Amino acid sequence: MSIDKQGMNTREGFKIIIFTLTVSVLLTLVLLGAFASSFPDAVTAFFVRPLTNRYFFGNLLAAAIPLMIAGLGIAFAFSSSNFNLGGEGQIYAGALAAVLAARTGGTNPLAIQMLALLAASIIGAVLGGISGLLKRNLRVDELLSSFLISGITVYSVDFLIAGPLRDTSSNFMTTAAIPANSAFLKIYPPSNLSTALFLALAAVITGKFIMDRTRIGFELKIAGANREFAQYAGIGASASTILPMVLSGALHGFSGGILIFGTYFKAMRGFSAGIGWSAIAVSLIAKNNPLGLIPAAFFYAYLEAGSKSVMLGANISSEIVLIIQSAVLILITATRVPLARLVSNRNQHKKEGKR
Amino acid sequence: MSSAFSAILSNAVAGMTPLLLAAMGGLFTELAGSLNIALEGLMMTGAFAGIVAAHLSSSPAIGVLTGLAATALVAWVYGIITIGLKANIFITGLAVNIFAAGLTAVLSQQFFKTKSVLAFSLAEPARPFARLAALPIVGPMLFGHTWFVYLAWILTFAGWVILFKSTYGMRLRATGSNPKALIILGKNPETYVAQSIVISGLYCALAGMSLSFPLSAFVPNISAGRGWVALVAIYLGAKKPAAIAAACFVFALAESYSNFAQGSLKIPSEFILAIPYIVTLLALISGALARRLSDRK
Amino acid sequence: MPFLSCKFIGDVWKIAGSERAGYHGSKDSKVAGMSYLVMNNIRKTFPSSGTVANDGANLSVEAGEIHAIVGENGAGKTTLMKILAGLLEPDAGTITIAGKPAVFRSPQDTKAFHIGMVHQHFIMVPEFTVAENIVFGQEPRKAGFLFDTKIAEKEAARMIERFGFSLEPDALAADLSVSERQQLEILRQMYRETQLLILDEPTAVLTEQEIQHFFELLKTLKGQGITVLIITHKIREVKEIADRVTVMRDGRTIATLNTGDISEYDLSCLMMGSASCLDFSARRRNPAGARTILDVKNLSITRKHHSMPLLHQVSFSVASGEILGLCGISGNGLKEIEEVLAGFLQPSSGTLLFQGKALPKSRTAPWLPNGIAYVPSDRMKRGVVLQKTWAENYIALDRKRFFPRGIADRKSARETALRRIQDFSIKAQPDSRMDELSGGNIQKSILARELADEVPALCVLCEPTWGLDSLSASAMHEKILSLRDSGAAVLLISSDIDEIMALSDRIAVLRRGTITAQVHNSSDVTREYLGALMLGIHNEH
Repeated sequence: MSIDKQGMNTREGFKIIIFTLTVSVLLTLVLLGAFASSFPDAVTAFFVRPLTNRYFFGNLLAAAIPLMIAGLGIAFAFSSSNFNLGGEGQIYAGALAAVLAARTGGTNPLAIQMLALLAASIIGAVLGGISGLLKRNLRVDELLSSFLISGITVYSVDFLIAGPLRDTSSNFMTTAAIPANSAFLKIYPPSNLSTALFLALAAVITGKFIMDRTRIGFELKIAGANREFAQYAGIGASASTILPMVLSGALHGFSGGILIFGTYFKAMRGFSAGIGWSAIAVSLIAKNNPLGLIPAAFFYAYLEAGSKSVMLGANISSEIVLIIQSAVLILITATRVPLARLVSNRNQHKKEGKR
Repeated sequence: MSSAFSAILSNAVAGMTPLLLAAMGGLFTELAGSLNIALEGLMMTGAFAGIVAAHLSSSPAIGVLTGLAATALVAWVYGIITIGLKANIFITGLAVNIFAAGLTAVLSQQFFKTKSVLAFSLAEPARPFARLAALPIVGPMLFGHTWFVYLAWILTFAGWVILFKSTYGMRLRATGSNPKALIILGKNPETYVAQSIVISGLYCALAGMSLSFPLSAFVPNISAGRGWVALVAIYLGAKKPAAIAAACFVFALAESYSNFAQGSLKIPSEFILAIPYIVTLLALISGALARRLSDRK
Repeated sequence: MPFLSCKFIGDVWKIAGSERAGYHGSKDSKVAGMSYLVMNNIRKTFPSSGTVANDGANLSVEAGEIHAIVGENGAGKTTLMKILAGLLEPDAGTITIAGKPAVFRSPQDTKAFHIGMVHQHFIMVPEFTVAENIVFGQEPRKAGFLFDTKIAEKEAARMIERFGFSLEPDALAADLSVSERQQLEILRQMYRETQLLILDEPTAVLTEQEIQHFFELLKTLKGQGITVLIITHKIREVKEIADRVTVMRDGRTIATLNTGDISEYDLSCLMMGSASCLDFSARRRNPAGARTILDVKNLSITRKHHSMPLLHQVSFSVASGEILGLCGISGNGLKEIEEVLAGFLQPSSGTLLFQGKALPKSRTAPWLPNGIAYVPSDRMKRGVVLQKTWAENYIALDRKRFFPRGIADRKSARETALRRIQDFSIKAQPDSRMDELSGGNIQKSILARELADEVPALCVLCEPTWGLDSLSASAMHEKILSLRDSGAAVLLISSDIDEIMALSDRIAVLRRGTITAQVHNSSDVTREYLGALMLGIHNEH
């Protein structure tokens, strides 16, 4: 059960993105109008403040970072017709692994960072790889297996953080923090934005290069398009199932590590919830094009920043963003746009008349 | 020991109700050829709308009706958008789940000033056969449950009749098997798909309410993965209501036992929550192993 | 000379055909007068692709006759019939049935005129029983909404008996053989009281024996007063069973005539607009000094818990400079041999030697470096990746060369693709998506890729002209012969007897997983002889 990509030309796709953006903005306005005590204040808080206020803008960019990296993971999996629904667990477990690895003792900040990020990537890779293995050997749908493994992982990490690994000196359910000197440098105080931004951009550009210009990327795409042909062409089942899931999991785990070193510095229970799902939405908006992840992640983070901004002051739960996000999700995979159809029909009649 | 045993069984029978209802609803869409992963979100919508309406109107009946209507509306929009815009039904199903989580939290905050447990003081749902619960052995297991449980059985049977014995069911199943067979008759298969989604919404609404009404409360994430378990039950039951019911019972039994065990053994609550996922994963893997063994023959 | 006479005949019929309004009767000499069905000057263009499918097509059918509509792929016959069946609306033209004008906006509208169509790809529901499929859409009911299985099965039994079929009303449709499924589809139409039955390429999926039964069925239908319209491109069958035939080409009706009044050859010419002769016997070869390139010994595939093996002790060899035609009815092992050679299926026992060395068990590496060219029978699924471009499809099998050190060499890929496209005269660009190409061009593209070695040592070609128009098919046959002439060993796996007979130097017949005969292709080998071998009526080692 892999989702097939409808072959749409880029103009149609562009129209759908515009359609989705328009509807989401309209929907946001409606929601704000319905729930906010002061509509103009809410609109300003939602749409303007994230862009003009240093704190909010910086955090916006910071929030886009894990979306880009995890989104890249989704793009890799999806280009080979694999669906990695285990992002939530892979990010969360990756973050925990990063904290644990960072606290193993060691003083060189760079070494700590590298070790921790490696640990995070490995755990994500393993989690993703299990689904890939199940798919290759037992033909278990990776969509379902990755989702289920993620559920188990999330609860397991919850248990560890609230239990054996809990930092008892804190009031919150969290682990202890990473060594202070190993955190990434902040580049835009007072916000959380760190040097991780450059890591994310580098990752995305590298991802684009791999997908478009390397043999591995080519083989992944062929395997995603036609598995039987890929088998004939010598692209084995491992290359088309295990490798993409491992890559995808690794990227998710890595982004979990980035979250720790860039923003949170310790693993709080449930701190990364929802990022996995958002990464899927971001990748869909970007049409699985690595470079498209940058604007897509920015847009998504913008929505989240807006809802956080609006929460301060108005009595609107920040979950409002979930409603908007669901609207984005539900519209972005449309392959037929209702209003655009009217426009294209008119064009067609013009064409017919000219003949 | 035997009273514990019968308590476990009894809880299993009660616990399979939401699973069974959700699975039967999902069966309609499955037979119409669409993968419906919005069962979670629809259950949540029904659970929330039903109990809030029951509280606001002080009438469980109005609550149930509202729950049904609200969920049917969400399901209808979900179906219309997916079919009308030719969107990817998996993603739109995911969106419904996220939407339900978001809307319930926002409305909860807006009207009740809290995002966590909403406790109401609704009367317990009626137990029509309470007197028979005194019978030995089968008493507590079969009787003594809320009317939701019996409704689930009735609706399972009704669903079986509609799907496999009626002409409407024939056309619905043809839609899932070979939509061209309907097009050739001048009928639109998409209509049947849309209807199946709405029907699943109605079933899921009852599933959700069977969770919130006995608690007289709405808990965030009240469905706790049951929608996914229902999906697996459909596959394990090879899309046949009787086998699906059996699968639901097995899952409910596992949960019931582990709830019991948690009291006596120190099992972490996270493990209990993870049980549906673990059981489902094991079921998936063993099903695949079984398939592989029979392929080898 | 033949070409001249063909064109002449073609012109004569074109002029004469258009003046044939009410002519005189079928073999059964029905009284003419008004034709039962008249389609006049139908035009249909598909706006999305700009294709003009019907450009002034006419059809005139008498009541109770068997009328064939012939034409090559793309001649417009399927479109015309889809219009008649209510699946498409014409841009212009009229339809008249029994004198009454008919306008169809949907298949439902055709019911009033008792028109029904059996499509090439069956529309039955595999999970339903025979009875359920027959009555689907007009189901008998109990209590208004329940399905009355008893009555349905009774009705089904009645229909089955009326036409002398051997179907069971409660059998699952998924378990039926291909010809039984066809019977089911026809019964469905009969249940709906179809008087004008349209059959789209009905014999495409039948064996020789089943085709004979099918002809009997048509005679039964005709005897019951049903008018039958057959869309086909098989001239031989038209001559055997149809009363009259309408020839279509390029969306137009070229001629309408009695089948008794024209020969197979002339009909063929009319259909294709030029002469086409499948006669390569003069180029038969028995090369001396040939080396055995492919040697298959005692190949077997057994299945647990099955008494009959898929392949049993299959042995054959192909030498350089010869064409071995491996033929059989589909389902008798041809596919399995292809799968084993391509590396998709592992044999239980036996050896495969290529140039004296064993082919490795798991052939994950592409074949090209080994000197084997492979054209798969399912070219759309295994031969190409439809969503990718021509260039991407080309370099997919030689990634070592086009991805030096792991990075794409785009320049080399593009240049090579352009060169191959020119060499093979393919209508495509390196950037064209594969699904934009016609079937013939796709097949050429596969060849272009497989023959990068110019002349590989071994060519395994499976159903190479299936689904191609006759021009592309002829070009393919020429190419196959030139490969052989250049010294390649060619294994031709095909269920098309004509193709096997036209091209092969030697012929091996596969039936029930074993080779029942291996003969040299001479004038003694006739269609009937091969057909009998394929059916198992004759047995010769």
